[in-house]
This record gives sequence, C-alpha cells and structure tokens, in this order.
Amino acid sequence: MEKVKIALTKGRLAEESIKVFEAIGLKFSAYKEDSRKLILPSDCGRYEIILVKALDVATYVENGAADIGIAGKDTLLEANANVFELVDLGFGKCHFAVAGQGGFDLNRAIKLSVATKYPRVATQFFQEKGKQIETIKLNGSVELAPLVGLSDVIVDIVETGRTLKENGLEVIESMYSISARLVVNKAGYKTKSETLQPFVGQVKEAVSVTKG
Amino acid sequence: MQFGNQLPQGVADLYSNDYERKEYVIDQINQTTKLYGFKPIQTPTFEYYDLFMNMPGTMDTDQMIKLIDHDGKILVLRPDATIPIARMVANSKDPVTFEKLSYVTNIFRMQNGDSDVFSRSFTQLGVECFGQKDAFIDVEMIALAIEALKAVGLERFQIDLGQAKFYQSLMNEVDLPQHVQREILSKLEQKNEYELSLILNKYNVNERVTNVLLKLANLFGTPRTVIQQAKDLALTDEMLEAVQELEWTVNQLADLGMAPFISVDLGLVNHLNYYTGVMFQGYVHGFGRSVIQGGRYDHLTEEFGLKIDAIGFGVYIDQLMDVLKQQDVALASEELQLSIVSRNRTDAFKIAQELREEGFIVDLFSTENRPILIDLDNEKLIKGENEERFQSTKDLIDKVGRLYGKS
Repeated sequence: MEKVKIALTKGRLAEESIKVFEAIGLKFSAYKEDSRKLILPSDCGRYEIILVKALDVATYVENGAADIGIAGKDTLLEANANVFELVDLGFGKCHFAVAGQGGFDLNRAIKLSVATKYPRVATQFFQEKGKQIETIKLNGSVELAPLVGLSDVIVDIVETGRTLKENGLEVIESMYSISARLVVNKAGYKTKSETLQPFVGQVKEAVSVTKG
Repeated sequence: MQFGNQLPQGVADLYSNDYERKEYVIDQINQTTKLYGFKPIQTPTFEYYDLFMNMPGTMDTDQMIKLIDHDGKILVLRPDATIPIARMVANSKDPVTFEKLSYVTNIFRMQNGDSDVFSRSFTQLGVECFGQKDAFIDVEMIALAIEALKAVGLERFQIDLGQAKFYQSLMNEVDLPQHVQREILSKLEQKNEYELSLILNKYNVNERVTNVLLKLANLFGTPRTVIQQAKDLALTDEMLEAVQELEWTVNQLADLGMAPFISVDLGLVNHLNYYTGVMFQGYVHGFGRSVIQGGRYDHLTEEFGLKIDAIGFGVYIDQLMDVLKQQDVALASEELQLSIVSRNRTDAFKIAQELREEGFIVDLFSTENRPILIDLDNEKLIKGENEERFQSTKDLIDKVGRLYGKS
C-alpha cells in the first residue's frame, strides 16, 4: 500500500501535531527536535512525515506531493491553495492584526504603506474595507518597519503581544483569529478515502476531546 | 535582444518527444469522442472581453489576459472553452436542436501563484452536447469520460459525481445576500465544516438548513450510502428529485459495468456556477489534481438568446501528460524509421517515395539513430548486425514490411 505523507512544519506545530497523532495510536519515534532529517517514517511504516517550511505546506498538499498537511491558518490564507480544510486543531492560536506606533490613525493616512510577511492577506483585508494600500513584503522582523520609517503600519500574527510591546508598537486593529488546521489534497481525499477519511475522523475526535 | 532566449513566465516549449506524447494523448481521446458522434469545431483565440464579463458569476475577470483592439475595445485571450461554444451554437444560422461538438484548444489565464509553469496557457480537450435534456445523455457523457481515460491507458481512476440542484434548492430555502452565499460556497468547496458553521451562525441561517449544509461537507463516498443519507436530508421535493436523478444515473452506470469508477459527492460545488444538474470531476489514483471537469449547464445559451439544454466536460491534457509521465504508462510503440544511403541521390529519393507510399517513415538525410538502413548501391537491407540482400524495389518493400511486422 502507498504511504500516507503528512507535511508538517518543524517546531511547535509539529510537536503538537505529533501529540495528536499519538493520541490516535500513530507513533513517530523518529521525530527529534535536533535531527536534520526531512522525511520521517511512522513506527508502523504506513505514514510518513515530511518537514517543510510553513508557507509551503499548502503547496505540497495542493499538488499532491503530500496527502495531508498541518499549518497555521495564517499561512493557508496567504497561500490561498485549492485544498480541503477539514479540521481546526485548536492549537497554535493567535490572531492577525494591524499594528503600528501608538496613536496612529488608519483613516488619516492617504496612502497607507503596510509592511508584512503576508501581502495577500493584507491586500485583501484593506480592499474589503475600501482602503488603498501599498504592501512591502518582508521576510522577518516586521516590527522594525514602522520604527525606521519603512512603512506606516504592519500586518502580522500576534500571539501574546510581547514583541510588539517591547518595540513600542501596539495593535491598531485585530483582523482574524488563527489556529492550526489540517488540510487534505482534494484528489487524494477521494481516491484514498478508505485510509484518509478514518484518519481525519479520528483526528477530529481526538481534538474535540482535548478541546473539551 | 535581452529577452531573445527567454520565455515569459507560465508558458513552455514542448520538444519533439513531449509533443509526440501530447499528440498521442489527444489523438487517443479524439478517436473515442469521434466514435460517440462528436464533431470537432474551433472558436477564435481572442474575443471581446464583454462576452465573458457579462456572464453572471462564472469566472474571475482579473484572471483574463487582455489586449486592446485598434478601436479601443478590450479583447481577451480565450479564458474558457464552453462559453464561446455556447455563443457559437446560439448564433448559428439554422436553429440548433441537437449538436455534439468537440474541441482541442488552448486556454489562457493570468497565473495564480509563482510556481505553476503551465498555468498561463494550457490545453483542454472537451466535448459539449446541446439538445433537449435527456437523462441518458448524462449517462453517455459520463461513460465517455471513463472511456477517454481508458483510451490513454489509465486503469485506476475515479469519476466523482455531484448534483448542482441539490445545493441550489437548499440555498433557495434561505434568503441570503450574494456575498454571504459566495462565502458559504467557498467554505463548502473546502469542506471546511468549522468555518462554515461560524458563518452560518453569524448570519443566523435557520437550523434546518444549517444542519443540512454542515452534513453536506461529508456527504461523499460510495454511491449507495451517500444517496441514502442524502434522501434523508432532503428538505424539499426539489432536493429529493435531485438525489433521485443522481441515483438513476448511478444505477445506469452500474448496469453498464462502470460502477468501479464511480463515486458520489453531494458537497461538490463549483465557483463556475453555470452548472444546473449533474457535475463531475475525474481523479487518477496517485495524482494530486483533477484531470476532468464537467457537468450539465441548461441555461448558459439563454445568455445568448437561445434556450437549449447542454452538458459537457473538459479534459486537462497537460495534467494527463503529467500523470502518464509519473505513472510510466506505456504509449503505443513508436514507429521504426528507415534511412537510405546511395551515391545516386535521385535513386534514393525515388525509392524513398515508393516506401512512403506504402506508409513507411523514411529519413533521407540522417543515418543516425535509424534502426533500419537501406544500402542501395550494394542492394543490402541492414538492421543492426543483420544484413539481408534484396533483388528489386518490390522485394525491398516486402522485406521492409516483414521487418516492421516482426517488431
């Protein structure tokens, strides 16, 4: 039988995901935080984890290179991939927010410049509000941008707000709440339904138990 | 000349081997559609933007590749195959009552991301059947989709059937603004039960409809089970009718021995909302994208002033080639080629003509990689290590024929 491939992102999301898999009796002893391996088989040999970058999870799953993926809603929104989004896993909670220096008024700016790792999400959010923006795509340390005058505000994910606070920024507007989601390749969910459907069902159940 | 050697993003050259595969795939399916009585047609590569823009809720106009005509009108490169064909049928001089048309055409779209190589121009082969709605036509079209995939050598694939009417009649039970309906549709398309329930809650959709919508996301799989569940969920006579129609189609296909290829998904919805009845998608085992998409669209020609029912489907040829490559499906063996050497070029030319008339492929100017060599001066037919003498042109043709027959 063909192996079921699961795309994960190294770090907390992967650890939480593996916990959920363990709860349904699927063990990945091969997963170790300090390992450099990118492909990890399950103990039973029927599943395989592939470790990819967060934004790439959706791409792997959309093209069928992985059958299942787990990624934050933030990266799924940005990738806008054509996949089934089947389970809200409940962990990895945070929210999308517009942040800037204290007292900044979004409505006052004529042409709002927004620095972000998520240009697609930012553009869509402001378009729906009927506001013209100019996005500046950055790959990290987005909080710097308003401080050094690169942009007026930033759009980023906020968990505790500590990074913002320590850099003298504050949330101007909260956008969407985010959590980890389980996505599945559309073709695979149909052609491998006898394996994937029970798997998704079990994950759903395990998650609803932990959520209470 | 800076860009002289480069290609724009989203298009690709097909070198001889790849193009041969593509032609082979197209040819195999074309032969099948011909056997079902479809006649090939062609619509222009570019048409007025207005044609596509005025279609209610069909496609994203931002995705069209636009040009400006000399009189300032906006043109678009063919963004869809079905709409121009519906226009053509509606505009034809004689009133159409029944027509079966097939096409092989390039579709052009602006790309969606930055990694899709074929996304800006891809080849679609399709069939459209115009004429009074008949349940047997639906069956025949689905059967043809199955035959088309078999014709290219595929064995493990699945045609997933849906019914647009089931969802549409359900949505008629509630009065929701367009943008909310769009949101619901997109969540259902992703089978995103969780976010779907949030939206339904937010807009206070009544409990009966909410209940069905949430179940719809999981209403797929083996036809018999799914259809029974769907019958229990039907809120109106219309919804029940839609399920019964689907049940009938599935039973007919089973009688024709096609049950192993059929699955059902009542949550199958499509943002191309011109579909009015049965909808279907073709998936190949082990391949992550759909290779066939189609369905019944009974109101599309009304946009062009003619009321005629229709059903059709398109095959994504480029995807199919990826499947064949990935799965190493063997294509029909390539033809052997002959080459001729002689001091007298004119003689070689004459013999080549005679061989070609018999249907053999002859290349006069290259002896490399040609498995069969004809040495005219020494009257020898050479294939690898084997040599054979021939007496006359007729003898030569006979002997070449025998070599072909053997291999």
